[in-house]
Amino acid sequence: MARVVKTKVEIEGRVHEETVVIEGEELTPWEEGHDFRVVGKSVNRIDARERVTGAARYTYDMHPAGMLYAAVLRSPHPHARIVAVDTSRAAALPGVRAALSSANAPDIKWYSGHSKLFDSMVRFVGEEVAAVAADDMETVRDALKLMDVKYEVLPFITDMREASRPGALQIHPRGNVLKGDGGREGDLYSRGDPIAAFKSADIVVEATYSTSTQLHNSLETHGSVVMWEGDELTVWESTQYIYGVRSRVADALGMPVSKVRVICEYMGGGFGSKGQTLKQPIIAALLSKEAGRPVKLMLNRTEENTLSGNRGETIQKLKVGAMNDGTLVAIDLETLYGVGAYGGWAGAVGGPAKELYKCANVRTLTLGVRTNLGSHAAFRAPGYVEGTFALESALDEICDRLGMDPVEFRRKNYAEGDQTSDLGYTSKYLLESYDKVLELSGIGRENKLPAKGELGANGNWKRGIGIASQTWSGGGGPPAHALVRVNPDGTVEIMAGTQDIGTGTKTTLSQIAAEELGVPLESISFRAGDTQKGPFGPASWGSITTPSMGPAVRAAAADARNQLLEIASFFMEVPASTLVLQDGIVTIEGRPESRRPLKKILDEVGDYMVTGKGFRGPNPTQPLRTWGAQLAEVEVNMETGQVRLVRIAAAHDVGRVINPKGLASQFYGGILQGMGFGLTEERIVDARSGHVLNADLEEYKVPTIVDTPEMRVAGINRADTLANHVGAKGAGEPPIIPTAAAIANAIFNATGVRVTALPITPRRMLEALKANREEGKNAHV
Amino acid sequence: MHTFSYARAASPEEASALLAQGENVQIIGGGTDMLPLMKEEIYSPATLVDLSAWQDGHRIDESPSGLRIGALSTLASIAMHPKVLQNYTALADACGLAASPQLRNMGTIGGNLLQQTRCWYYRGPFDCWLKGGDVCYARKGENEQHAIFHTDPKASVCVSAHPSDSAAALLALDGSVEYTTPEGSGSMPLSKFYRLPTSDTRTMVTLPENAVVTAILLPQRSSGDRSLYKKAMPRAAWAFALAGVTIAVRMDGDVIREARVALSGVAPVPFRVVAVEERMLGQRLSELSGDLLGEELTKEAAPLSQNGYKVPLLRGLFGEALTELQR
Amino acid sequence: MSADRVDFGEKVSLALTVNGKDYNVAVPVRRTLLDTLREDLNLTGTKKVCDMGHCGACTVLRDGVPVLSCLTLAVACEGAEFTTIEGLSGPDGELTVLQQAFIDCDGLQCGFCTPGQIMAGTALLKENPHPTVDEIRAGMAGNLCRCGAYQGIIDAVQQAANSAASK
Repeated sequence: MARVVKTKVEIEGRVHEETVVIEGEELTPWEEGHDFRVVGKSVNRIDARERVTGAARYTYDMHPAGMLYAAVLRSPHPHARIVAVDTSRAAALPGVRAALSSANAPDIKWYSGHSKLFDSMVRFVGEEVAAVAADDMETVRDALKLMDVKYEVLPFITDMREASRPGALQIHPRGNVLKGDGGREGDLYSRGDPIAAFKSADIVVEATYSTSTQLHNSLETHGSVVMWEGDELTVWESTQYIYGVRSRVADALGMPVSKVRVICEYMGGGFGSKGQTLKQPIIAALLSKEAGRPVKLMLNRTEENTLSGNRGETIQKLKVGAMNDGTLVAIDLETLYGVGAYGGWAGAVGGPAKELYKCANVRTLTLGVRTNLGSHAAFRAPGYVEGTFALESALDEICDRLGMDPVEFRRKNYAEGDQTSDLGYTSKYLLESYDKVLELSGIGRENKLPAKGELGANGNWKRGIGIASQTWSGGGGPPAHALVRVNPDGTVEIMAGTQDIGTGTKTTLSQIAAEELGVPLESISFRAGDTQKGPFGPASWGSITTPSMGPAVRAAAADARNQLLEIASFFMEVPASTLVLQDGIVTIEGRPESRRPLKKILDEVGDYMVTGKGFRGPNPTQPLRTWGAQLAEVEVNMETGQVRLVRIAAAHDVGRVINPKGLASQFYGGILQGMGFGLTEERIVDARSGHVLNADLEEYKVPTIVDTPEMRVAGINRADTLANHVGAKGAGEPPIIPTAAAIANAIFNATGVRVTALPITPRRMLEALKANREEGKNAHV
Repeated sequence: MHTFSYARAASPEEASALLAQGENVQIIGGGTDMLPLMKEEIYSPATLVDLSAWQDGHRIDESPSGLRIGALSTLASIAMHPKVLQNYTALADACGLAASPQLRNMGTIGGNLLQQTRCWYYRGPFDCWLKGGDVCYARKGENEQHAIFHTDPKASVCVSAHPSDSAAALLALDGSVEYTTPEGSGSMPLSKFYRLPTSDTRTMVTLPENAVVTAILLPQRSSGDRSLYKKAMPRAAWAFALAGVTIAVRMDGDVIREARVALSGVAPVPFRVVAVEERMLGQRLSELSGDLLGEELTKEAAPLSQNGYKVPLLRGLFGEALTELQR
Repeated sequence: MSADRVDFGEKVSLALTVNGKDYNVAVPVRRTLLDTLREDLNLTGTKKVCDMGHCGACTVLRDGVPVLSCLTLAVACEGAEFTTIEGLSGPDGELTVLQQAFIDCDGLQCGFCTPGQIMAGTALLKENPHPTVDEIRAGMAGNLCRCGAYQGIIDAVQQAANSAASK
């Protein structure tokens, strides 16, 4: 029986109500202490072999017969009107099979209707102007040079401060500042009376923090390979959301969704940027239609780093008040968040201020600001990474002024329940995370962190330790579906419309299925990444895949197992309720000698195929949060300003751990990207031309293997049985959140100097050291 | 990349003749800079002459007068060469710290000395002065990686920072560049090989017309002589120098009888600091103070709007280099 | 002049040796080895990430030495022997110890840098069968991984060195 229910789902700091159809009853949760055979064991990725042999076919590797190559001509101006575009010289080049521009492209609305697939107005360097498909890549590039475009160049803004000022040049029909509820500018949140609380606070810390634009730099660029067969379209897309691409493409081309198939079996990294559908599958489909041949349209590295999204820069004016005993009493945070030309939302920078610690008086205002630059996109815990840096820096400052141990301070300001709703959390093991991270770091859970300067120096290198905490959503929710097929030979196929973006989803979900079904992990094949092979699965973003898909897969496996036991009951002549399926063997409970391999039983029923169906049920009313803490140890060269992250410990409460090996990889990866954000990564824009100067992997510095610190990581591994019946929370984003903040605090612990802008490059470090010396000098005057 | 006609030259003489015969001819060795330049269409040669098959170009030979390093020797082969490691440590350091293992396996010493600036305006879609345009965009733009020496527009319009690690090392080691032209062969010291670009010749290299670099010559050094190259990078590996320092000294016991200090990443060309060398001369190495010399080192520095940090960084790096040399 | 020469705009006929197999292809003179492997020989295991020599994903072995195929012109490849990721495993598909170690140590996430990592690691272990951790880091510094699988990569190279040593 299907029924319709409403449930709240939170994705990356934004909550929405989802209306979902629920079938059947929910399973009872796997309780703490459940005797697992597969879940909780470290296993290798089930698709690792393909990835280490080069056999894995990514979107970039697809090559349907007769395929053409395509590329897009992009605006060299940050703001311009296209007066005329003429593709005829390009189209006449031998080998060119199709050309597209505003002159001949259908009128497809883009950016919430404010622009088109090929619009006559371009608002950032890199915006689409025309496209061409040809026999080989060399011809494509030659053809782009033959496009004749006349631009009327318009004034532009790349500085978000300037763009946010009243009276600034308006670069978008809806203004430069994003409007929130009720048409007012920005996202405002407030509780208590911060103004009064600041007045009565013993100590107030006030500072402006800034973070730079971080580029995802997924190694596989965004891109599509498309193929028409009659009126049906197949799209291979490097995406975090195959079903999202399907709806977007169908909608743009005016097709029924049933005629669009989207495939992404292997995906070369997304980190949030591939949750959106960019223009290229639609451009490729149009070119392909015109040429009558399949088309590949992959972005190059410069395009990837110019227009496929980024973590928006922030400027955060933060004020924090506390009492002498360390009680946090007030937080006020005003943020400018750069969303680029077309970003439709700002990262939830205020999230940590609202949720991370107990504080009765909080106000946060986040203004999303448009500029003539490439739009931002979700980037692994958008908003929270940036907001945590500012908040944790300010709290560290308070600890320093009060002479209070940073961990003691954090324990003291622990929040029992959710302060935005007055509801308890489904689970919260933040205190356990502090204990664990102290233990992992070797400091010991009973001990204080070393005082400022206590760790001393090795030559020019001063050493210090810093801590930061983390909160984040990661509960997922419906809709999410899965099918489990048990073949006549006893092998199992999981059919799910989710995708494995490199996080190990297929492996984790196979473990859950193997556990519930009672079959060995090796008997399972996981079919994901194809809208024709599995029912709807959500986007792989917001740390929601395991908590959304896990229960759906488990439910499908339970359904299949029940059917299998019904069948076995017929042949074994006992009620199904007395049968147990484990490791692929059916046994009558209490009678080990009764064991019959599943395969033997299925042999009796010929080609019958068992199909189990599962869904993700509604969320509980309580908010769900992940928690954690990281302790960073750094060395700072006082002469050259270089900073090394020497080691880092991380402990996160992400619910039940399904695959410890996979989880550790998620933690390592989050730390590395957090370290990049904290120390080396920064998009550089030329203000006079609107060009990104380092849209490459040479001048944009992602960490290398030599930068890798010694890492000790652990999941707290406590089941969240209120969250869902698998007990897992999301784990992809939590580990990136506190890293930069912990590093910045460690730098302060080493040097006594607070760096308030990220990344902390040698330039910023030396400038901060110099400013500190000069301040010191002034103080003596 | 524009298409081109491709020719293989079996010797530098052949390559040099091809340079003289054609218009817009470029030579490719390891290709690690030529191909990126061609992909960005900064260079669009009509003819590309591939010299990589010239076998003798890969040789590193010792002789009574010193070391002769074939122009096609890869950075990896130089960094591992026993003689280089022993007597020309700065060069081994510089080659070993450059780029990445793969790039060091491909990149040649000749190409490394001839590489173009990494300035993002030069490499990007800007018609910058060095490429023949009217302005140096970095001067009033994003210049945190750029030069702090020779930044007076009268000295050099271009404020890019010279990227070659090995050039700084070779300058301090008194290296020379040997070349061949259709008119014959010759050589010039590193100190003459580079010069600031002028509006007439917008290049940092002074090679004669149609010259092909054939080898790097290094004078003999004895085992008591010391040298090293140190580099500050924006990450732990695989990055161009924010600043690089070479110190090379020839010793009489503990007394310095000859000193060379050369810098990378801080001026449009590899930068020798004679004032510091003079102050080191005749001193005991063990008694030198990095702080005092550091002052002297950056005396001439005139940073741009965003790279004042390179002044203390360079001093700090020099201090560390000196300490290491004293060990 | 004895220099052999390919004229402007022509496709070049090349004889290439990849993974012990001889190929004859005609490619534009400006085509890189990377594009030739991927588009002409259908050897898509070698990945294109930056195409500018900034990442290491396109690493292949040229006469046993790791080089970047994106900075190598195909026309300059005659006479050399190349090995790509497809050429590592044995005739029956058995993995090399390093490939297996990458699986065991989870030295990969999305896997897009993995072929390049494994080629670099293979060459590293051949040159230095017992590398220290610092030597592994230095030897693998030319391969960027955006997922941050570096710890697993270090562990994998170590495991492969150890298991080769125990044989």
